[in-house]
Amino acid sequence: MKHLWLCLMLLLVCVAPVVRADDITVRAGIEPNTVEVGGQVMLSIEVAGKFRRSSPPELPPLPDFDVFEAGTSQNFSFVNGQAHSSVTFSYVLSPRKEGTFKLEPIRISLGDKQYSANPVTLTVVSAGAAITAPGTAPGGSPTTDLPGSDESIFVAASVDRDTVYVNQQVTWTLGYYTDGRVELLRAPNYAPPEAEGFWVEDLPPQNKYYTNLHNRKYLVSEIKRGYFPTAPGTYTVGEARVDIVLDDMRGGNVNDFFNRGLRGGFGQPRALTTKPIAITVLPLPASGKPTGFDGAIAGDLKVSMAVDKQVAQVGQPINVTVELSGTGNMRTLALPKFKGLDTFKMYESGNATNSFKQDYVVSGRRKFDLVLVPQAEGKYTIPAVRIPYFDPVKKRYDVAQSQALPVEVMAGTNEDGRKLIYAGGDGFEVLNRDIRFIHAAPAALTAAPRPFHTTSLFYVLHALPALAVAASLVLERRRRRLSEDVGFARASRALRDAEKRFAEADKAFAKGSIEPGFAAVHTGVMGYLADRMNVATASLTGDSIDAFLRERSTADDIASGVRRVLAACEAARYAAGLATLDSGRSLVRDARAAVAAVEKGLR
Amino acid sequence: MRARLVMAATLVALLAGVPAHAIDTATAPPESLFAAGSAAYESGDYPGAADAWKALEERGISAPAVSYNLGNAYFKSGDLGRAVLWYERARRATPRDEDLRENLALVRTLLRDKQLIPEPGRVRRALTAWHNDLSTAESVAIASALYVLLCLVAILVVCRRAPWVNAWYRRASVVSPARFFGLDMTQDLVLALSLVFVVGGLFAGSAYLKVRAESARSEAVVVAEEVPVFSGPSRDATVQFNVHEGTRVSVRDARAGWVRIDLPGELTGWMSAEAMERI
Repeated sequence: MKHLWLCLMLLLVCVAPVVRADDITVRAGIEPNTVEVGGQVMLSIEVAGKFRRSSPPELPPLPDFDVFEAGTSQNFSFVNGQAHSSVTFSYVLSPRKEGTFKLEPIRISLGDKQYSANPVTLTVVSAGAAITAPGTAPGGSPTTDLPGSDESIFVAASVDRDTVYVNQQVTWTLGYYTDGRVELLRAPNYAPPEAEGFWVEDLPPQNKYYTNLHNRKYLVSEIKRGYFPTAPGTYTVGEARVDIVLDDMRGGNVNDFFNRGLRGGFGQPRALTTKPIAITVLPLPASGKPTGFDGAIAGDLKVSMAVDKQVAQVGQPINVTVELSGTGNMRTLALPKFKGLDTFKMYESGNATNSFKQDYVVSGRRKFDLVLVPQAEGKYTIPAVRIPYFDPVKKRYDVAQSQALPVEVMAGTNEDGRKLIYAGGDGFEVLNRDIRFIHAAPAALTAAPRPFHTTSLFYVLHALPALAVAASLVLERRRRRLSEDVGFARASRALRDAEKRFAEADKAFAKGSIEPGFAAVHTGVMGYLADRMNVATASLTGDSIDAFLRERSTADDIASGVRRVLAACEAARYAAGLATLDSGRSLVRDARAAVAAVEKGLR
Repeated sequence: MRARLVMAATLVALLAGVPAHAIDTATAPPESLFAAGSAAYESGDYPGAADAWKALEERGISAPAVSYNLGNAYFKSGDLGRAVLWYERARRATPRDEDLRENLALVRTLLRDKQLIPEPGRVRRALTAWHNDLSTAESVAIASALYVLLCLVAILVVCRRAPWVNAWYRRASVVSPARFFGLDMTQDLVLALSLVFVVGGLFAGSAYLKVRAESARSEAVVVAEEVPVFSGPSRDATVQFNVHEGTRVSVRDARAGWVRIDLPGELTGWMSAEAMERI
């Protein structure tokens, strides 16, 4: 492989279609998307969303590339009780042959689901054909350390300006020059310069172009960094170092291991270094400093403020978002204190900075999240956020200011429905907060009994209502049938009615009334049979009774018993003089037995 | 009579300043232990107060006041984890205790993992008050009462054609709102049955969740100051995040010396079982 340039590269994801599923976003990007054979591109696969763990992606077969893992970066945030993660897997691809390659499918597994990233396309051209020089060569800067000789490989550093104000960006560029006459055995190892007194920001992407130097064509690979001085004075961006291993077998038979070994040729290490560059950092001008200036330095600073609600209740939080945007190191900017909000409790719930590096100029947005809790009802104005700042590009002071925002606070109530009152200000004031005092001893301090709901009795008792419902179902069905089915109703009460008649007979015999007693027995037996047969009593005949009992498979002795009882009753009615009290009592017993036997047989 | 005299003498001695550790916690009457804890607390001996009240709990004498006081004693001792633990235990028995709510809220503001405590809005709090503001015993009792009511209404529905039901309904329907909507007796009873079924089902579900959580003891509180949560039950596994004292966790699984915990935000992992105590 030629011109390997494995060094630090920040991730830059190309704008690409997004694949979404289940709040998971998987996107792939490649930078640059045109490269020459033997060059390098960075393939980034970003997975974002709500997930706990991600396995590395499965890349498609890449037989025409050398693939190197370039690390994984992970970001985790917790917003509104929800965890959000994003993981970026980076790979360095070095093509072995020219052509247009579509990299797909790139798959990744999250739990038991599989997601695919958008395909990415890479164009590989022959060496020296595709990469064109940018509009300007490095230089144009006050400081550069290009060598005067005609080295085949060297590095040079430059800065875009060597005199700046505090916190003004100095863009430092490292150029790696090679004319293609040397080959490297392994990737160069880059060590960035020491730079005390600066806050540093890497500036991707890596830039490549051709340039002519000393009548020779060089391929230049550039890395840029932004340096932000933190105090006035003179500082130095130290030397950068690139360690390379030259192939000392160039021109020989690279497969001749013995020849290589005899010449001791396993590569010739060499260190390429740049010259340190001095930077003069000017103090901020004393004149024109606006009141309230607190050291904020930025280019073209803008401030905006927003609230999530303009009408709230006492005690109800109002979320306020203040956003600062501009060029420069936005992380150094602080939010000035709000004044005139004595009737609010104020909490800073978080802040975040997003940096951008368009055209190697660091800019950003800094967001502050505040929570205002109103303590008293009324109409208020959240004052404008005013930030005096120094613009190092325009070399003058300026003031960025947001709009003031009105809010209305209505009376609120607490959990118990009591009206909330203002607890601050000049009058009543809560000085300290402590836990409430201990409780007194309860009336009884005994071993805690087993909870009733864990006992068997609890479940037994709960079965009773269900049994009652079941019983009501059965009874209701019976009641309904009794009211709708006359035969069933008569059959149901036949025995009971017969028993009443037999009881009347008992009473009659007890009083010495023989005829009424026999009549009651007769009525009881005939009534029972009529109810059971569901016919009128008057229509009963001896034959119909025999037929009924035969139909119901009643035993002959039962039928004869019934007939005997009926015959005895008839005899008593028509020959009353022969009937006695004893024979009557005996008949009642026989009648009861006969009816009971019939009832049993019918069941 | 003699026992009462001994107890009274003990109490007087305690209130006169006998230190809590001077009492035999294994044999002292519960009232004496409680009073010893209170005396220690009032004199600023918070660990001593905690020991006295803890001894009561260890003897199976559990009362909301004891748990609440233990929370106070641990809070004053600087042990926020155990303060939350005992407040949570007290909350199960007396969820509407205003002192308890206030103290628990105050302790939560001091926790390092307070962003993990879900903060429901007012509407949600109001809608779930019937669940959150009732103890397990209360929820079970209400669910049981509604179950009995459900069965009674079911009997009325089943026997709606019986004369006694009609006679009862004529008297009872005076207070039924259904008559304003022109519902007949059957519709009215079925509506009442549905209503009791839904409300009873909610309370039964609430009671079931509480009973299950109590019996499984699946809720716990971190009592160690900072505990790493690993991706697996091993110290060689990846540390995913740290939890801190006072954080309430749900225990989903347990293995020798390890428990798998769940946190809001779909955070999950394994931590040492010794670093937490179940509520």
